Amino acid sequence: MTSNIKINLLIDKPKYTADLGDNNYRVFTPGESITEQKDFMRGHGTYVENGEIKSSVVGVVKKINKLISVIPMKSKYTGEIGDVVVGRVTEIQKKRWKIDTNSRLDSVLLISSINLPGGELRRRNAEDEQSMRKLLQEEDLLSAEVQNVFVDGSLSLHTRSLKYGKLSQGILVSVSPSLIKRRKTHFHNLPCGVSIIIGNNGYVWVSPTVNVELEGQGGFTQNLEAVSKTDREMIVRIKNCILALSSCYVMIYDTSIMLAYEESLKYEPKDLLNQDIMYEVGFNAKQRLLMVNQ
Amino acid sequence: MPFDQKRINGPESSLLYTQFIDNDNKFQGKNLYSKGKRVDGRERQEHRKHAFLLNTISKAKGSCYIENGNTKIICAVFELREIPRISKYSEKGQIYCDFKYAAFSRRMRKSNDENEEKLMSTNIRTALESTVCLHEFPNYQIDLYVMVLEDDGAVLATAINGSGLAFIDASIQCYGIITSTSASIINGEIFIDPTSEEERLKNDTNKSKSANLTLSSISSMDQIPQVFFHGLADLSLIKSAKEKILDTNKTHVLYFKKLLSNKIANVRA
Repeated sequence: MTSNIKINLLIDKPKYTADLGDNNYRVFTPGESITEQKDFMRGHGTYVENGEIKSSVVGVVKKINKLISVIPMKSKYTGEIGDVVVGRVTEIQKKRWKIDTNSRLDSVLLISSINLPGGELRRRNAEDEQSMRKLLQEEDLLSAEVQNVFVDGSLSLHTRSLKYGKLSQGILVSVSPSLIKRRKTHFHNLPCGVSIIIGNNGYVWVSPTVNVELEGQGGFTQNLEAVSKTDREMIVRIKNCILALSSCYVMIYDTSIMLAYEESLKYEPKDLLNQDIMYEVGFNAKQRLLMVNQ
Repeated sequence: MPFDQKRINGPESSLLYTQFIDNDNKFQGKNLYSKGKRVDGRERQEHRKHAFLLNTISKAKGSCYIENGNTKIICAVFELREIPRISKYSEKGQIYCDFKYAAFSRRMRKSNDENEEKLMSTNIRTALESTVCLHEFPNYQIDLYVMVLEDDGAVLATAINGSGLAFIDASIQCYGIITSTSASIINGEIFIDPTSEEERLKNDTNKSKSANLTLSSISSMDQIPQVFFHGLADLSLIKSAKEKILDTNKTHVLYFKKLLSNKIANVRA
């Protein structure tokens, strides 16, 4: 079987230059003075010296009323209550699961925050603790909502709704959390036969659309039926579109994913992994987004 | 016979070719420096061409690959973790620096490599402790790994530049951008950014080794966080070398700032 290998010299590497945006953000580097301290409070990414507020990271200044902070390019996900997240189980502890959600500390899913299969409502007893592994094992993927944020910044999750729970078949795409747009719903059924769950933490789950809502789907049963080839191609195409959008730093939400999908139709799914084509698809999607938003 | 444990030495009766090299200040028959320019065509105060690439190691929190002439260094910063083996709560964070020469980085593998690596680690750590806002992560430690892929002079200076940029790439809060330059004092003259040949030169008069000075400065402050001096030199020469280095550092800061903000501006559009 022959495989396709593309080797580029570093000097020939396709460069992405965004010449679209007219809004040139003023970028601050560490040590640069932002303003005098007189009426302002300093937030994250700044420090005070000689009565001036100076930036301590490379980023863009965010001014909210009297609070000045600098948002760096790379940041871990900091959760807020009500966010939808997609996570992976890393550990099983006494009465709780530890979930990796692309944040600084692992998030926590308490055994009292899940729906028991069959929809029972009862106190969790010792037997439930022993059978935690039957519900969620290490390396399992799940979707959940943030219930609470602890003092140290770690999140407490819950799956108290039928739409949350263990994820069965699909692809997980990881992008930067700063590219996820906050929307009303994060669960979308795209017209091409693919469902996506856009986690606020940067993890996006792409799976085939399940037509019939199974009964008793308390969220922990997995549907492991075979997925058809057409469905699989569609899923891979959407995944590559999301990667293309992320490489061009376009905000990721259902509209942008659909526009990128339309732009990508003239290529094979595997060609979409090519750097030049990724930039082209992302760039075109961005242009169309600007037109749509105007 | 100079015998290197970590290299293949050939048959017993063989001799290393380096024994026959003329160790006077000549390289390929040319004077390593003369009244005019240096061997590579530079002026005394001219710095070599340098470039850096951020985010080269995807698994690291921040990373920087930096080239200075032929010197190539890669620095990587990893995620915060609690300071191991500590009983008391520490109000300031700590930096752990691990500096290594790659086995292929130099012509001869020196016998005191390990000590030299430890010395470099300490120097880099001192430089960065003044740059990074340590009070922002109390009781935590940041790991910094530096590896020299090729050593062609000014290794400490390039490593400090690279480490500072790696921290900036990791979005760790810093008081400013740290820049560092190296200078050699040979026969009463100051050479900025020496190559490894120039670093090994000896003074003509007393055949003592030349002096080597590496100095760092932080962009926003009038502070010198780190100094490394090795050798013998006149005090007045050291002072003027210091001035020249600080000037070079200032010009480099402007260049770094421009590149860093351009990189982000492109991304945010």
